[in-house]
Amino acid sequence: MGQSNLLSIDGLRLYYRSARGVVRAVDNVSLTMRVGEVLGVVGESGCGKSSLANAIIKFLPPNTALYEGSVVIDGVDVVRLDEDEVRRRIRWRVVSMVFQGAMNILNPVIRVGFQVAEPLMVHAGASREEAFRAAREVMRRVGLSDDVFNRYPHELSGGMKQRIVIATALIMNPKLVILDEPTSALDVSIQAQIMNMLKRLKRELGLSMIFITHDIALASDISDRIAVMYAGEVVEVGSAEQVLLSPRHPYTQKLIAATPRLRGPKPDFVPGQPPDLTSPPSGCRFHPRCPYVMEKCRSSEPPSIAIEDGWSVKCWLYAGEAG
Amino acid sequence: MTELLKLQDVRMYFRVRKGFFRSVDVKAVDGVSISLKRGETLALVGESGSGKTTLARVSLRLLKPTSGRVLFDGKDITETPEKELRWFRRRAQAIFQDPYSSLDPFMTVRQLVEEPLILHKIGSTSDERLELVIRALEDVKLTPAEEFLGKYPHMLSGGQRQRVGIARALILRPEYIAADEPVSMIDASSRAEILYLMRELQEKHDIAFLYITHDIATARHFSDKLAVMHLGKIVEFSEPVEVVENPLHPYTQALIDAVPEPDPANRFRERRSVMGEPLSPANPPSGCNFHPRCPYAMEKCSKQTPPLIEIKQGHYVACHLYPGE
Ligand SMILES: Nc1ncnc2c1ncn2[C@@H]1O[C@H](COP(=O)(O)OP(=O)(O)OP(=O)(O)O)[C@@H](O)[C@H]1O
Ligand SMILES: Nc1ncnc2c1ncn2[C@@H]1O[C@H](COP(=O)(O)OP(=O)(O)OP(=O)(O)O)[C@@H](O)[C@H]1O
Ligand code: SF4
Ligand SMILES: [Mg+2]
Ligand SMILES: [Mg+2]
Repeated sequence: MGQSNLLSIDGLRLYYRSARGVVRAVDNVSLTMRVGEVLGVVGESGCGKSSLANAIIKFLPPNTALYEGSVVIDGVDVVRLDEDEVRRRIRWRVVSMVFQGAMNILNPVIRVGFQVAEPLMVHAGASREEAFRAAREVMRRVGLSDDVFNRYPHELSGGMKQRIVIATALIMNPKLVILDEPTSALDVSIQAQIMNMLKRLKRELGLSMIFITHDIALASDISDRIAVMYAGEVVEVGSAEQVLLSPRHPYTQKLIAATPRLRGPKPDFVPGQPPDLTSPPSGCRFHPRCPYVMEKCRSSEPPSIAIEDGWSVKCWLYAGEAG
Repeated sequence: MTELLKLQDVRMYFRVRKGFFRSVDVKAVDGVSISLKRGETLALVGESGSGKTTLARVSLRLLKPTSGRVLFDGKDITETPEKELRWFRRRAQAIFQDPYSSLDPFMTVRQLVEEPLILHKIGSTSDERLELVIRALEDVKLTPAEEFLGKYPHMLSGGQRQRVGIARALILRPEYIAADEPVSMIDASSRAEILYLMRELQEKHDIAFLYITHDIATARHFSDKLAVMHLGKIVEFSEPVEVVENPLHPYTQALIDAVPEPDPANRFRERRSVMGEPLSPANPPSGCNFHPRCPYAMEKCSKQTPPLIEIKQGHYVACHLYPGE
């Protein structure tokens, strides 16, 4: 393959304490990413996508009940680092994140150019001049003209604010950028413009990204590989071609069929609700909603079964195909 | 066939102050005519700020239009004062975009769905109303209904909350429902389920729907007529299949190009998209108000406003590229 792994996640778990019990938001997730790759993470609301992102950068809420496994990035296991080291060595400079809804939490009283430059001054001790120069440059990269630098957030449209947030994530030249639903609040035409911009960053900078969305069609717009999450687990992962053109997991199949297409048949849907992650179903977590459920599915958890190199599915239907 | 709802050349201008002495008119809706028959769905598609919600609010007479007429079941209700609109308030309902904020968090599902009955003095006893509430919950497939009655909104998923919103709209047995982005806050994969449900209820109860969305793909599958709105005006109108297969207006074409389909080849190409940001109705461009964003703009486009004309049987477009006869 030649390319080296940028990120290896193994047996990652992130549980939260809640009044109803322990929420198993990320449950035994293993994934790898190569340099320059875009990994799409898709799944219904509440399946643990944002929690997975937070687990990767060790951004843990106070009610964390369990955090274990390993997240090796750039040769370092983030799980083993203490908070101070994560802050100094990992966040912004190795992995940066565009948080879900981040464009709405830009500081209203600080000029946006300054907000883009800030991480460089705070985390890299750059001078004001250096930081501003870098900020102007990265803002240009994301398609913002020079005059935007001195504006305040309320003077910008939604699409421009989202570009600011992305520029901030890029300012320290991270090896990996995690984008959590970066376009879901935007109009389709603005969304298309942002996606085109991200594609250019990928092409021109070889930027590696994790792109999180509940919309598998949108994921297909940029992802080289796609991981499908269901109830805290990755149930299928493979290349965009494998996952989109010959989905194996019944949930992946349903997700694709549920996408309203302009041309083609009426969309289908996944009936029922995703489970409560404090008490996920026994066996295969998808079994209560699965059209192919078998006896075994109710009682024992399916293993991750390799279909081809780099393509695996967590479903009993493929138990005979291993190897 | 008679029209249930008819809007004739409706304009809705909002006067907003700009500084101390100046004020400008925001032309949110600028000369729109639509009509809806019983049991029919009209999809209204357009970007943020195109005036969709404003048009819906006029159709529900929550706003009095600046000019134009609003007719419901043959009666002109454009100027009718609120106290004489009780009959209309019962027959026309709304479903809102945000299932999180449109439901009072301190009310149970039972109270939420029962509230419209109390407001309209329907059902003389609590038991009578409870029966109607249960039937409405069953209609929207929140079953077993008894299990949902005592729940609060935060205990429900987004899809379930939206069903409560639909049940609230439905319980008065309305003839017209304006559904303003009813599924845009819901997961892509669960949208179709709610839209099928609305379709089923529509057939069962012969309801006319105004389906507002910025998603032309769902509009294609869940409507009988499709109108594309840009900056206060309808720029294209036809049957959904016709609009999608044969879009005439450059804006419609751009909206269609912007929709991704799940295709792994997408990542190797850029999507075509309308240039620039949506324009402001506070200061709309002259002529065809789309011209600054239009790849085909001609000289005429910045000078004359193109009228909405029928280019072929049942397919209307407002664009100088199609001069008509
Ligand atoms: N700090 C927290 N404490 C307790 N539970 C949490 C916390 N954060 C998230 N959860 C729960 O963990 C589960 C996974 O949430 P998460 O936000 O990761 O999902 P998601 O896939 O990103 O959803 P969405 O598409 O809605 O953003 C959900 O059940 C959520 O309610
Ligand atoms: N009460 C009001 N006063 C002033 N301007 C208003 C008012 N209501 C709406 N507008 C303006 O009218 C225009 C159309 O708004 P409207 O909410 O109808 O658009 P929309 O198509 O529903 O957009 P969205 O997709 O964002 O919901 C916008 O520019 C909006 O700012
Ligand atoms: S393991 Fe069984 S229940 Fe789970 S997805 Fe596969 S067939 Fe369905
Ligand atoms: Mg999330
Ligand atoms: Mg609106």
